[in-house]
Amino acid sequence: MSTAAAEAPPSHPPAISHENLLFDYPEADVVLRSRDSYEFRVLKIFIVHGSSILGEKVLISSNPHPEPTTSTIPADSDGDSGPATNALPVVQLPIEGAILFSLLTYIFPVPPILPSTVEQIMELLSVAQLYKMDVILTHIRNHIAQQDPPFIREETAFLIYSLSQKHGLRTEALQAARCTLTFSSLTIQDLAEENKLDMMPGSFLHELRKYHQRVRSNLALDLDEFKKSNAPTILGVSSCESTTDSGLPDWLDSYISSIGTARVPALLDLADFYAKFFGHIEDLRPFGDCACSGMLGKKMRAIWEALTAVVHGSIAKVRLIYVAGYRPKDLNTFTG
Amino acid sequence: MPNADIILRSSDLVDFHVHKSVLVASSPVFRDMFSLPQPPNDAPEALPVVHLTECAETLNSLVSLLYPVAPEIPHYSDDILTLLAAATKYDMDAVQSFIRAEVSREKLLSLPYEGWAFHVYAAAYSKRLVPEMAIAARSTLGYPLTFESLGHSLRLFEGGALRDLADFRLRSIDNFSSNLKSFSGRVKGPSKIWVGCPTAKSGKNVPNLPTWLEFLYSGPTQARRFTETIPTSTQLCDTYMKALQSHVKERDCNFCMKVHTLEGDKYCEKLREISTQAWNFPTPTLGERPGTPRTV
Repeated sequence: MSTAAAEAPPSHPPAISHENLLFDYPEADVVLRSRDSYEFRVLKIFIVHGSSILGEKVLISSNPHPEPTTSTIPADSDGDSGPATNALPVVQLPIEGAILFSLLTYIFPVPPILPSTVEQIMELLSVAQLYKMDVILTHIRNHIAQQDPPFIREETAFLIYSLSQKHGLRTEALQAARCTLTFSSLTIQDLAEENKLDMMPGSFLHELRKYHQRVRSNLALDLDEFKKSNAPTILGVSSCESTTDSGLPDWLDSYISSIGTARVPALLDLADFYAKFFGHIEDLRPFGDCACSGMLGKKMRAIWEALTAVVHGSIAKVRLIYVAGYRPKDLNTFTG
Repeated sequence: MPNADIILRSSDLVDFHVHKSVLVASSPVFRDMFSLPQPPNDAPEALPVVHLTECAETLNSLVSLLYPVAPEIPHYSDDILTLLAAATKYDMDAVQSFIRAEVSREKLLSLPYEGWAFHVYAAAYSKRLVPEMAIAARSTLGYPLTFESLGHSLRLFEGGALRDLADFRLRSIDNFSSNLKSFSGRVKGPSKIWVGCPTAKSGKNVPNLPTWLEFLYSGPTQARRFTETIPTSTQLCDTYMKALQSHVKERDCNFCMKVHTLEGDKYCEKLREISTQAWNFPTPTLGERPGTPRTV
């Protein structure tokens, strides 16, 4: 499909239109044609600044001996008119119109528009990464980070993880993998119940499983260390009637131990923490007030903040080792 | 080969000098290929070269199966599947049959442990080898379908392989569970022979089965989850025998002892049939999806 350039009213036509996927600058000096035949009349200089790879293609298109992927069309043509003297070079790109339109909104000084679906947004990121548009990639990621509800959340994490692996988007793959830590469990039965068994190949799933395992084992070590050093330092000598070998009140020791095992590490809940504390106080009330009641206030806040810092720090230390992504032939497809 | 008139070049650049006529006779793919006009040869004295994507090891085995020489069938299951995939790709029916017969005779695709059954299933699935996929899918029924069982084999599962396996297992387990349910009916099923055991609790107007037969209607397969296993006929009969022996010993039940003496063999045979039927449940074909895996 061509743009509505020829159909636009003669006076002051809009330079961009979301509805018609239209980019039609009056001073355009190149036409970018999408895989599904949308045409975007744009200015080379922005493209060249946005991406050296894409810029090269655009500059080559001006060459008197253009590559097979480029052709020329008249600057003011609807495609039916005869030869024109003012022909614009056309660069054919293997990108869908909706994605290319969105990408151009990040390249040109217009309000950026994200595509409408998760799949398209991931493809947009993938295209920006493949064309090595570092600044634009950051721009898109910042825009995505402002979305409400968050782009990567419990409902979308698994799909985004899968698409990130497919497109080789390491940043999103890691963010989505972290988000899947909020799942109460990750079993084949769980995936089947949510019709997710064929959402990704086994290799991606295997990496996600390994990531979860690494997070948990790392967390176990860090929490063990926390129980031995940080926690006793914050608490001081505990006079609790019921302490463990580490010198911590048993309720606190078991709460810390349960993180990453019985408790989902990414979902630390302050209310749950206090519930354990008050449960302990109540349990010991028949024998008199437990010394732990003195923890209320500063000590409780301090221990909670230190604990959450350890957990988040421990999770942040774990990276995805394997991100599948594109192979060299995919890059060739994109770069023509 | 002497008087060869063509070279097959492997992906790792090993040349096999062979005869066109032999290739044409055994493969419609080569027959069609050679029936097309061939590009001019740069060096007329040299033999034409056909570049193939198979490695030298696979081509060597394949060529050995086309000539009257000792066939070289690999012994490692991944290599066997690769060879079969090549024979399938070139439409060599006779070669495929020969390999499958040899594999069956020599038990070359035996699946010694749980991870291996899943490994072979995933590898066969990715190579579109339906018979091998079916054999491996059946073999997995003896193991739980969990990430722990899959181990590193999980990396081999592509596209819908895991979903198709889950669907197949659920249908097999459903078949097993429903047959076992009919079998354990106290009114009509074969298990009615146990009605009368003095240790059984009486129900309303209808006598109950003895409690030692609970293994028939409890246990993991009744959960009807594809993650569960199906016992083999031997395992099922062993469970029966252990439950009976324990019951007779503990309760000194002459009734059940007598029933077993008279009808135990027949009963056990029917029990075996239920397991065998579930293990031989029709296996999936590639990409088949009769329904979303059902979980109860």
